[in-house]
Amino acid sequence: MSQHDTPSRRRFLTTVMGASLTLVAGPGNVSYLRGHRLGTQIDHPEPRPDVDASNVLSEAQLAGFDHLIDLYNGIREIPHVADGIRCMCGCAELPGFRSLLTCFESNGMAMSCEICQTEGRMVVRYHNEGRTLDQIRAAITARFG
Amino acid sequence: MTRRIAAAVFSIATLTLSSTAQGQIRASERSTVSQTIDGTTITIDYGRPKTRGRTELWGNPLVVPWGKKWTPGANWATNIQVDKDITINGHALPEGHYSMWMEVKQDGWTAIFDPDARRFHLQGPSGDPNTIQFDVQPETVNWNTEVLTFSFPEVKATGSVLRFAWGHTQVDFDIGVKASRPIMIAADLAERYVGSYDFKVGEILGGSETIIEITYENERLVVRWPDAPLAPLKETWLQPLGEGMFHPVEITDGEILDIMTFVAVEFTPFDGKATGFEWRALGDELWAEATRLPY
Repeated sequence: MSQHDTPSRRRFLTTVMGASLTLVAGPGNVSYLRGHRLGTQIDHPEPRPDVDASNVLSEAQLAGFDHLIDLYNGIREIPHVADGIRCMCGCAELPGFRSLLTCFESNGMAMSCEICQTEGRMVVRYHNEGRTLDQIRAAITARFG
Repeated sequence: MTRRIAAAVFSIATLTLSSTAQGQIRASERSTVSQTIDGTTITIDYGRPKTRGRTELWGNPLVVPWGKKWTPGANWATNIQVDKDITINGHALPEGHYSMWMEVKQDGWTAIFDPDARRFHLQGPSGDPNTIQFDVQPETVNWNTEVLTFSFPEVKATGSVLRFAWGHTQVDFDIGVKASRPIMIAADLAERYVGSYDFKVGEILGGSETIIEITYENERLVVRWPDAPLAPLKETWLQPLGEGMFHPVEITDGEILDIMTFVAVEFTPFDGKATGFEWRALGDELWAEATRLPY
């Protein structure tokens, strides 16, 4: 244990840290002084023109997960935005996962994944602030890329 | 008949011998342990001997005699592979593949990292001029580690502890890695964020309101929060992520202690002169918010 890890600091970190973010580093030579991770390339999907929220879990399906109802309702309002964002928790590598929207649909990934939830809340917040899809993508990439 | 019997005996013997060879249990089985820290991966490949009731390992002519340059493992020398430059106990270890040795002495040990990775334990280190070596102090512990073990018991955003343990002895190595995202920021970008802020902190951080200062020093954004509930938060750096977002960086004695990757400091607006910022944690939970004070 580090000599700097005092009991109060350990308690603080244990209390507030629910999970670790996994940041994927990438090589490259983009000027570090501009504040960008070196050479990160994140491919966000294009939202499907006919996408809707019909598969987003309903409130009834979220029984026992009351703390997530507002989040799912928020995603339900913006399927065309959520479908244009890559989920950064790793589920994008799984078959059948297309976008952040997928995490809130039938398979229920966002019910248990703190990354999906954090990303979902950020997307809803940014959309309500008036950010465009490209601006939201850039913010998600900055945070999780 | 005799030829048929001989053929049968030969077949049985061949099958028996080959299956025995494939199922052979080694006295010191091989193992690999790997740890990734902020995009840098360190891998240890080593044989795992057992103490087998031997209480005296060091200075024991039948195990590790004093003065021997011994590989902490068995058979083929323990290997350490690093895919990016790291520091180990403050010494630079460039990206590469090394055999690892310990010179075991009564008054302390010397750790040796030899660029000649493929060596048998009887060969000892090669004497390559690019060998890295430094003194370490083994620690005696109350518990017994029966099987020689390498592990990473501590992992932070900026490094890790690599631990060797066998018998009642352990040696900890302090591993440092380069941050995948630099801490520095250009002056014209930093100018957006520099200033004094009225800082309101949520209950999770003690629930208070105070004035904090953000300054630009040595190409870094420095945040001074004199009333912070924890000492490492009184002065932090901001690691730029882009789009007006930063991770707080805990520092001590001018060095990075840890990067709070679970917190994002989001300035508004994200693309211009900041009028304020928010601390957002996992779940996008709002921990604190700040408003820039007029000059």
